[in-house]
Amino acid sequence: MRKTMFAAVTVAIALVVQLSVINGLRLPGGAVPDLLLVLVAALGLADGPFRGMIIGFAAGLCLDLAPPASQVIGQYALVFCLAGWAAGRLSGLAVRSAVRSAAVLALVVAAAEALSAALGIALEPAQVTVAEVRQVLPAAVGYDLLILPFILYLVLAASRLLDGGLDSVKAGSLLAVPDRKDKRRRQRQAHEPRLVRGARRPGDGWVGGAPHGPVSRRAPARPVPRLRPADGVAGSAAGLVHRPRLPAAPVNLRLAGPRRGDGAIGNAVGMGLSGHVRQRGRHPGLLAGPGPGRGFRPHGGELGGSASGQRRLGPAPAPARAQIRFGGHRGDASVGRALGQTGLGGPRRPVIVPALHLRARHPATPKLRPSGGQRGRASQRPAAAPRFRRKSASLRLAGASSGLVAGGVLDQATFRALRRRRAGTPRLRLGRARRGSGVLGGSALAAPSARPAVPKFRTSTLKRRTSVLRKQPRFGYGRRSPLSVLTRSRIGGRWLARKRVGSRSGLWMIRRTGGQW
Amino acid sequence: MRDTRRTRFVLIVLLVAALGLIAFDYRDGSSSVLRDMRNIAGSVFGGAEHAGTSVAGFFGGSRSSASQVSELQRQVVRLRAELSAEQLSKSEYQQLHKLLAVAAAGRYRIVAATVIGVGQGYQQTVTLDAGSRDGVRADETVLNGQGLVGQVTSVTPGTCTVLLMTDSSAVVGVELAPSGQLGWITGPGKAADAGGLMHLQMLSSAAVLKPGNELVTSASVKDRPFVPGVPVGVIAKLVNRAGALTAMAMVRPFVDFTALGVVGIVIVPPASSPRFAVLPPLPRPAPTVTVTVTARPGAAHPSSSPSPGSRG
Repeated sequence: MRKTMFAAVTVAIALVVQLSVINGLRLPGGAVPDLLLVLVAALGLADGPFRGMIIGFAAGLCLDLAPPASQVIGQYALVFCLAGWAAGRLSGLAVRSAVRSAAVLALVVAAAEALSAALGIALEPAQVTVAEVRQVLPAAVGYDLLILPFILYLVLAASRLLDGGLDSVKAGSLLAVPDRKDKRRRQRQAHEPRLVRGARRPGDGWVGGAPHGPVSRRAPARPVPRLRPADGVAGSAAGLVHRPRLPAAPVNLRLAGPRRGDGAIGNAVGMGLSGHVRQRGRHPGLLAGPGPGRGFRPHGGELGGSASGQRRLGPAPAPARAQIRFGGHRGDASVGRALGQTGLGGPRRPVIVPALHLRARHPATPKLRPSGGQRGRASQRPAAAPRFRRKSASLRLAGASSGLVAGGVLDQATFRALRRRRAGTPRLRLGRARRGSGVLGGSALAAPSARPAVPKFRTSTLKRRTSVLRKQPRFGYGRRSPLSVLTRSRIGGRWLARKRVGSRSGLWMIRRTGGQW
Repeated sequence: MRDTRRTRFVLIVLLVAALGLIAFDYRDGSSSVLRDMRNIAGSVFGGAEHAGTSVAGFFGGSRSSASQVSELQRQVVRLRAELSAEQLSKSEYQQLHKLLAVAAAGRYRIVAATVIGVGQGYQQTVTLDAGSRDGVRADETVLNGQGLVGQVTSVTPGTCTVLLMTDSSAVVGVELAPSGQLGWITGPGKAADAGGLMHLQMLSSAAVLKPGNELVTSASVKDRPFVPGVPVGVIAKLVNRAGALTAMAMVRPFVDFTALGVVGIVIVPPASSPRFAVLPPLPRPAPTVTVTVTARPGAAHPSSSPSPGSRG
């Protein structure tokens, strides 16, 4: 505010002095110094390009309108606006050096004089002739350079005075050369810690909605997995939060044999699981539509995909081995959408997805309850096609159906991996929360005191073969790129989705490392 | 440096605004909006310029020799009554004195004004502190005690803008003093190669120019923008341009444009053209006086002192 006032007052004074005194001078060469131009450029140098161009435009417009003016209105506004902006932009070259400041200012002033003359020739050929310009322009620039150091010094001193205030500037140091004075200031401020507001980086964001907006636009840079401190609430992994230092005891998921009514995780897998309901001619990986075999029932688990086995432990302090079985036993836990989220939640480290063999004739077929039980049966929902979704490191609320694999829908590659696995028994392990871990159950509301345990899915090492293990799908993570659109198999096709096109994108990307699908 | 996107946006906005103003004014210079803007700016900056000129004159205006100060102050007091509270320095008084003499000789009715602002850049314009409140209208002749200064181009309530005769775009119709032949002169602008001389071009190919010929303004239509009879300048040298149909010459103006002070705006033209009555006395060569002294017997004493009376 004070700087604005200072700029306005000095520009007004300079304008009047320019018009009533300086322009009346008769100096050799036929030109007079352009006080206003030099002042505008100096103010731009001191205040930056934004204020410089505002000041320049205002000063130029006043000069266009002030009485003796007969030129086209806007001519000096254009020139001075550019001069102020350019001086502000070039102020980075002139930090803490009076000589360089003057040089930058001289450059700007000379260019502005030339531009003014060119505009005059273009707009008023009767009044401004080339012969005049050829004679007047060097003289005008020369006179400008003569008054330039004084104006620059005054403006810089005043700007520093207004910045620091009267108390911080000693009377002697005000008259010092700017660079020396600035050095002294830097030495004085060397001991004072300075806090600089960091700039926003890509990946910053809010968990669970920004404070100013309903939707969080950016994913958090370091997502802290949070579990909701509630037991038994739909979508939560109850009982985990109260003990932040859970041992990393694995939770075994056992694959039971295919039975009638067996299902997969989510509704997509479910179709492919039970062979006796498998439709002919359909690819087993793309089974998403409703079929007659959609007879999944929640097997005793809580609605919404809670790990009910965990919950039965209750507040007991030994959650050592929470067994979650994929089977037809009543009371078994269902994984629901928590499985899908956790399995895909790790942004930077490859998370091993339960590699289940989902062929129907194979005995080890997971029987999973379709999650999202609150929303009704799976057959009533529309077919969820496997999708690749971009998600960098953000946490997602479970209720959002647009989630990563919301509703327990495994994406295609995961599903394929599941199908390829022979006799692999997925094991749900409760691991320590790692960087980028997702949320189990999808709730991200509680503030964790430490890193709570997050279940992860792992294939059992007992039954898996290493050759198959190498063919695990991996998840890539990278920056967003325009090509990332192509990785959506709907758009780019399956080939592009496999070929790592746009692999540096924010997409969750499944990379094939070997073998055949 | 900081906030570059906003800076760029505002810069583009400002540049577009400036270019739009240029285009608007260039296409339609007599737009009422722009005229209003100029009027407002004229009233604001005109007052400021007046104050600035007063302050500057306070510091630099007293260039008088001390011996004449007391006498001049008395005259200043007398003139102050005529000019209604206009405080004049010595040079201004002299200018006003001459101006009044010229106006009386040409029977012009003038409004005296002072230069309070000078145009920026390449324009040869000045601002006077008399405006439409004083009866000044556009396209009126401005002169001072030496001769023609220019013409009024725009008027605000308190100020008016005068296009000087030396501007590149100024054209003045002139009349050659002895013969009355017509021509026109154009201003030199700020180019120094002309040395401040103006171009004279005659209309008639039969015109005979000689250095030392004086020029006055010829009458314009309805005496606008130039009233007749105002002294313009004197031919300094002839220009012999090959192939030129008419005679051309360089004219040195009477007015010293580097020291414009008090000027007069002719608000009522004379009823009849003053012809060449306003012209300053020519520095004619002293006539060779032949004194014949005849010795007569009985004569008292011969008339001596053959000093020729110089006019003025």
